[in-house]
Amino acid sequence: MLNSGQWIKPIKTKIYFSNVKQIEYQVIVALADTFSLHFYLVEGVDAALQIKITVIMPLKFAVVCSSNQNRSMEAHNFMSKRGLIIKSFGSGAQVKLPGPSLDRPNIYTFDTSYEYMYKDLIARDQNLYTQNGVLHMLDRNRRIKEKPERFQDCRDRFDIVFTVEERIFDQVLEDLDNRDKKTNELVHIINIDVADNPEDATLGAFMLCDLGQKMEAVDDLDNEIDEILTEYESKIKRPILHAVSFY
Amino acid sequence: MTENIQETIVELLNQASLYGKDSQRVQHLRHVQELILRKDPSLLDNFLEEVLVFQTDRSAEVRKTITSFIEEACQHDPEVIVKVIDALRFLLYDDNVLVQKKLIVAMVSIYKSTLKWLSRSRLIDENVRSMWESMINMKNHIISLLKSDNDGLRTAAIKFIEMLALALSKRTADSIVPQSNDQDISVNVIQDDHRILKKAKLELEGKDVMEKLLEFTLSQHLSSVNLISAMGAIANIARQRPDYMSRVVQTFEALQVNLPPTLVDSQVSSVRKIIKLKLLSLLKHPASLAFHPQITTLLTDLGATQAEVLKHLPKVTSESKRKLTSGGSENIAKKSKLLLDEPNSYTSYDIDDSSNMSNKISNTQSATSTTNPNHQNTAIDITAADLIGKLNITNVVDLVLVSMLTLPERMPASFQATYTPIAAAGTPAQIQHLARLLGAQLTAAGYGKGYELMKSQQTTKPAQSDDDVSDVKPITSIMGVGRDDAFPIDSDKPNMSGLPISVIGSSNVSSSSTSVPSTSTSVSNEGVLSEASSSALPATTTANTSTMPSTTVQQKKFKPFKLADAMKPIEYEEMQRMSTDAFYRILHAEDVCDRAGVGHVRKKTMTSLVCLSERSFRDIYEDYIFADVRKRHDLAFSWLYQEYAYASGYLSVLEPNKKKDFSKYDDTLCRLLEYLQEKPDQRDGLFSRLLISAPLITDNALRVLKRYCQDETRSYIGMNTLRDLIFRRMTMRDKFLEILLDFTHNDIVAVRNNAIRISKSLHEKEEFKQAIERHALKFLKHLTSARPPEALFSDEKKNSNDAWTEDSIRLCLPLYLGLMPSNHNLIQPLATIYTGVNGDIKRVILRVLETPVRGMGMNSPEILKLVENCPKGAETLITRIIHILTEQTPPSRELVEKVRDLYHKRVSDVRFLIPVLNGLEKKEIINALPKLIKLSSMVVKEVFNRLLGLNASAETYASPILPSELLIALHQISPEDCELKIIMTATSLCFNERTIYTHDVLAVVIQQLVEISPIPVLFMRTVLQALSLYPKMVGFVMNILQRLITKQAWKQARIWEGFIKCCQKTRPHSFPLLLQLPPPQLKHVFKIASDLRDGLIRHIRSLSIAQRSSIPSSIMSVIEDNSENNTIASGTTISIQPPDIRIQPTTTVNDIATIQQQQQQQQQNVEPVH
Repeated sequence: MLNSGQWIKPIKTKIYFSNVKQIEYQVIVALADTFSLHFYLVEGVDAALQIKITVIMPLKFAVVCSSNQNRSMEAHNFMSKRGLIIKSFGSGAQVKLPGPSLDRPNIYTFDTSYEYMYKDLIARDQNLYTQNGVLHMLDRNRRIKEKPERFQDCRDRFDIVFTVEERIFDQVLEDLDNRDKKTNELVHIINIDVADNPEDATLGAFMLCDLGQKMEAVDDLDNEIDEILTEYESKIKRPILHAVSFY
Repeated sequence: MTENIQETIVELLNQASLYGKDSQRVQHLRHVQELILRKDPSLLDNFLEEVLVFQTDRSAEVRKTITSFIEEACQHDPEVIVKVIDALRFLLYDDNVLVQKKLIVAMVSIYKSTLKWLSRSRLIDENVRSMWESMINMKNHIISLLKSDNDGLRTAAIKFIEMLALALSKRTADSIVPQSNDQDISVNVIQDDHRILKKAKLELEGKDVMEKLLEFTLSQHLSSVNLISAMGAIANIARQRPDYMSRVVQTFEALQVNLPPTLVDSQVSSVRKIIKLKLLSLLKHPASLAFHPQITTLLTDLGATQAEVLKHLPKVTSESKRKLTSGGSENIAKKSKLLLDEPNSYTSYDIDDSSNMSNKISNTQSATSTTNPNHQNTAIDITAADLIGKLNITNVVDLVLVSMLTLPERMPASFQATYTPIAAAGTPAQIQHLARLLGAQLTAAGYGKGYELMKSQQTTKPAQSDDDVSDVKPITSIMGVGRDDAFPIDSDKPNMSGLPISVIGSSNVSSSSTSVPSTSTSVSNEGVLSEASSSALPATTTANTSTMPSTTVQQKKFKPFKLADAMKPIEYEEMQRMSTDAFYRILHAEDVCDRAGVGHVRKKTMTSLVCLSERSFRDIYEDYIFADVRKRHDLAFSWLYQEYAYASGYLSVLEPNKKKDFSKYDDTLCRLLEYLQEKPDQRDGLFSRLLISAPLITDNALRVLKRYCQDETRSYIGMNTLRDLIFRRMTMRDKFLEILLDFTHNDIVAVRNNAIRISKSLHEKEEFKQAIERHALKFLKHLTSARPPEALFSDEKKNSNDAWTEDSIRLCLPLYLGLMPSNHNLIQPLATIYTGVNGDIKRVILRVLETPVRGMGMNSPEILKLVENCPKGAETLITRIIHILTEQTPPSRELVEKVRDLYHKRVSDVRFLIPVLNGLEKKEIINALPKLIKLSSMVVKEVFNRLLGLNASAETYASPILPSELLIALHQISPEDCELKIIMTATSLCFNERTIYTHDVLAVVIQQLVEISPIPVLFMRTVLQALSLYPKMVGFVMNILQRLITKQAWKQARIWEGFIKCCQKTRPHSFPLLLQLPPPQLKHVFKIASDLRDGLIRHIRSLSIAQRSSIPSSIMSVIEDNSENNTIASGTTISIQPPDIRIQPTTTVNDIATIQQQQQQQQQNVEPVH
């Protein structure tokens, strides 16, 4: 059932037996466009028993930073490797990359591909951009997707939108508020502040992924998200902003 | 094409119904949905049944897919609803929460489309009717889900209610409807005469659910997700239905200061962020113009910058402004015109029921004064308007002061998050805002003008309203910001219970009508004005208890509420009982308070109560503390502090000149101390801790402490406490020190010792030195007085103080003596005083001197000085001191010097020398010996002990004189210096020390003595003594006797006497010696000891012929001369005598001596002496 290149993610499911109370199993589900299930049944359990399975649809995550380069891409990379369904976005007007000095950033439009930026920066000053790690980052990014995406321009629906800055949180909320409402589907917007540098981005990606996995693990996220967030907040000792919006 | 699609659908459905993987089946169904609804909707009829079968599928995912299928189908063709309604109902009651949620979300659009379809459709059959009934049931069910346990379900229900509120209300001209919702249903499109859709009823329902939603938004225990959703919903509604703008803004107002207490910090900040966002979006709305002051104030409170606010302000044209604030006549005219218009057209100004009446009133009252129709006069508005005028500085200060009483101990999290400094304090806008806040609180608590007005309206309303609208609204909904439970006590505003309200009410009610308009100078000037007048009127109607809107305006005063009128004094006993009970409850709430983390509050409460109360509480409290004092001692401590603070007047701000009265404090302290004192287990040291930490130590407390210290078993702790007190309490230091020093001559040994111990340790500190010494000296000086001082005796023994007893003498000394080792100077005054006291006291002093002197050591310069300058009369003291010093260690050189000096120069008492004997030189000792041995036998013995090193350990002790030398010296004392008898006693003392005077030593002594000429008188005595002690020395003695013969011992009578005695004793060994004596001496011998002769004769007979022949004849003749009778009797006398043999006496003696020596050696070989 598992095709190479497809997402592999563990989902916790609940399996109900007619006579046993309730046993939880790790079920590995291969994901692409289709679902397929493999069961690894515990030895001694009669597989012929009537089994009722609640498969929870995997959550759709989005991570939004300002330029869709460092923080969101790090998280994208990290979380997709952990088998979460994730997209990454920027919320700014343009894509900004560090330039020769603080007040002279390199600015691209959102439809510039990572490949182009990579080559462009090599042409400009390979040394500088190797040293400050921008090339390395772009190199990673171009392997993940073609070009940066702007959250405001994307009409995909997500279950969870992570933001990494309060400003971005506000932007996302405002954008979602101003969209045309159609389906009334709930979306959680969650902000954890992550500083915009490679080290913090890695740490942030880990936190977001960890949190994402915790959310993925519960049956009824809407009901339990408060608890998860409160608990996680006390664990990481950073404030977590949380709001909901509707599509 | 259609055929193909149809076949594909059949195929897919078949596959989906097969037992397979859920994900695949979902996929198939989605495919079906796609095909039917997007490709060929005509197929919907054909396959609907088949698809609906899946609603009972095992898999929740499949059921969710079916739900979305139905939703889309309904959107596509609303008529389908009739067919699917049952399926929907089935799914609504699904046991899977996710399915339920999905269905509710689907219902949002289904309900809208159904309503829309129904409104248009003229053909209503039974099916449709029952469908609508089911729909209503489902709707009610979903609304009820607002109370569900599941957060997600509640959120979905909120969305549904938002839709209901929107759909069941009229769209107005200034509604801002998003493009996507433009085609949404609103009540406007429903015809008045619709068969099942009753427009009025639906509208009412819309209001009702809106109220529910608002109420829900303000409920106490809301999750942040729900709150955010609800806020989004109401903001949305406000935007689309500006009629609700006022209510929504009010709700936000109330919300901002009353966030649910369950939210944690970060949730509070999230929620505040959303409030800000929503308010900013409302700010943009043209209909919010009238509320801009409120919204702006709110936004400022939420931390929005001025720039942010300005950015969101709509571009207000002067025309719209004019329109909004223009006079009522135009409006009314317009309204009446609009009301006549056909229902489909949007009525721009709608008046809801609650504002209806006030409008009527104002209309009748004045044609020019009217309410802004958009502005609903809710209870809050009325109350707020009422309050504005009353918020003058005096009242506000009063309010703040009063609310201080109910201020919570800790700042609630929500307050901390929501609090922002008030930027524009005192401005009319801010006063207005404050009035509204207060209004909201008052209304919620069921007070205020607005509330009363609403209540009266409610009684009048049913009569006016339609039959359909008969259901009475709950009061909470009228209040606008009703809470779903009792008014929260823990909200950040201190609860506005009776007191503050009565303050406002009684002070300013009468002037309300005049003061209100004068203050309204804000932007919404006219609005407020109209509000004020309209609020004044209902008040009148209420006061008149008239149900009819009256046309005559009669200002009648409210009867101000007086607390005193409503109260009845409680009986004193009852009051007592209640207060005691309350106090007991606090006492017993220990566990609860600790668990809740408010233990300190409890402590404070209790101590304050006890402190302020009369006796009864204190007894209870004491009992409580002492029941488990180890655990509760902190209560005692804080009580004590409270008493102190109270007594010092720190607490009585109101009477700063109150005289300080510490009697209660004193009483409390003493009682606590006394209890702690009597406690059997003193290990916890609470007594001393209490004393040390007490803010003030009163005289009574000192008395308790004294008592404590005098308790033999507790004096140790007591004294330590005293010491700590001396250290820590500078101001009372002298007092404590005095107490401590008084204890140093206490008649209880333990107490005294402890006191002295502490005094000594204190004495090491410079600051106490003088005082302690002064005291010690004072007592020492008492000794010189004729009678013991009174201070020595405890109270009961006062009468027995007429004479010095040993005990009383001893009491004066210990402190002084104890100090001496640390301050050697003290020995001088002691010596001085010693000279001035009587014999008894001297004896006592001498007796107790040992320890301190030993502590000082002989190297102390002070002692040396004392020895050097010995005061007259203190000789005994000094002797004693020196004696003590040298008892166990050899005297130091300096000491010896000093003593020697003293001896030679001033006091020629030989006893001085005794202690330092070992330090003296041999010659000095020998010189002093005659004097020494003349002393009493005990002293002599001591002298010898010292000289012989008997008391000291061998290693450290090096006597300047060898034992043998000592004995020799004794022998050499001339009889002129000393009586012979005394010398004899002395020598016998030596002999008694057999461990020292072994026969070797004695041999040396005798050997040396015999060489002295003349031989000391006692020599032979010593020899005899030695012989009796060590009989084995006989050979040696023979040698000595031989030496005596050669030294012609017979010339010294005493020696000769001893010689003979010795010969007698040493028979038969002495016989050969006798033979060596010159005949006259031998004869003399026989004369004195005749028994020797016989022995000698027997001896000669036993000799061999040759030996016999060596005896000189002169000797023989002496022997025979006197033994005639014997020889005859034996008959052998003649044959014995060899007349021809003549040997020189000297040589013979020599020969015999050699023989004797050989014999002796043989003896020694055979039997070793040792």
